Amino acid sequence: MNHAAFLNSYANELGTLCSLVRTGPQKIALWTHDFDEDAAADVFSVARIYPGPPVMDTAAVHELSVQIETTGRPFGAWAQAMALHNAHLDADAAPKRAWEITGYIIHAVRQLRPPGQVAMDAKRRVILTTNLNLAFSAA
Amino acid sequence: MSVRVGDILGAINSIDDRVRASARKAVSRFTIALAGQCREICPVSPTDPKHPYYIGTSGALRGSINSTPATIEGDVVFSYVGAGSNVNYAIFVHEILTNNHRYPGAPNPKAQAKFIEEPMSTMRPRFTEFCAAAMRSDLAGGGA
Repeated sequence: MNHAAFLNSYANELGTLCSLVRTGPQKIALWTHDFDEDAAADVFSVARIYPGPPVMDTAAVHELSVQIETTGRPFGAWAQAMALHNAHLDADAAPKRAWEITGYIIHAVRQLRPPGQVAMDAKRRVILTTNLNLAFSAA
Repeated sequence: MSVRVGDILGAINSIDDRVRASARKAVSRFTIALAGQCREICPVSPTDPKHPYYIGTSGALRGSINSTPATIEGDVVFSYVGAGSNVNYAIFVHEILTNNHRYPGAPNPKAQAKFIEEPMSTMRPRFTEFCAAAMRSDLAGGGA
């Protein structure tokens, strides 16, 4: 399973749901893995896979730990971080299940934690993180 | 034959107390081990004041990792593992995935972000089995 390809598809879905630019030439608001400060929007988020041991990692269903880090001035950063968090919830405000994205099915969003501020950088931008696990398989 | 209801209830209460005490002991042992795993991979700043990453508090974060003795609230046994109660940068070190914790000369070459979360995720599947085994041994008189 190509986890980078999955992360890209997942970020594209979030970008669509939250109206966040994913590719240039406009300033990019949602990145994967890493970001380029010059090409980043005033408020930008980065989705990363981190090495949480998979709770469920059979051949068919993979589980990844994902962190979405959002950087920007407080009001905008909190709004974007909350929008990204809420994109993982269904109409009943429960974590989504059977969520179809391009090329994959996310069977469950697990351990979804709301955004929290972890730092403020030298430009006085807040850094917020949201953590979650995604159990998914190829469509 | 006859038996006093009060004697039966007394015996049941005695068993209940033993089981609860054993559960507290088992959970405490588990979280002590978990805290140890967390310390194993906790970032540590250099001790050399000339090192560019020196912050003057080498080992403070690792030293702050601790577990609380288990307590019972209702039917639930609680014990907490945490870090940073006296270290205000703990969440920054734990959460920022891009920080470089394995710089040349790092006192802890195994250091990484998520130094609490990852051991917890790794050990979580063994929690019930560990506690059951520890309680079996304890209640059978093994006292482990």
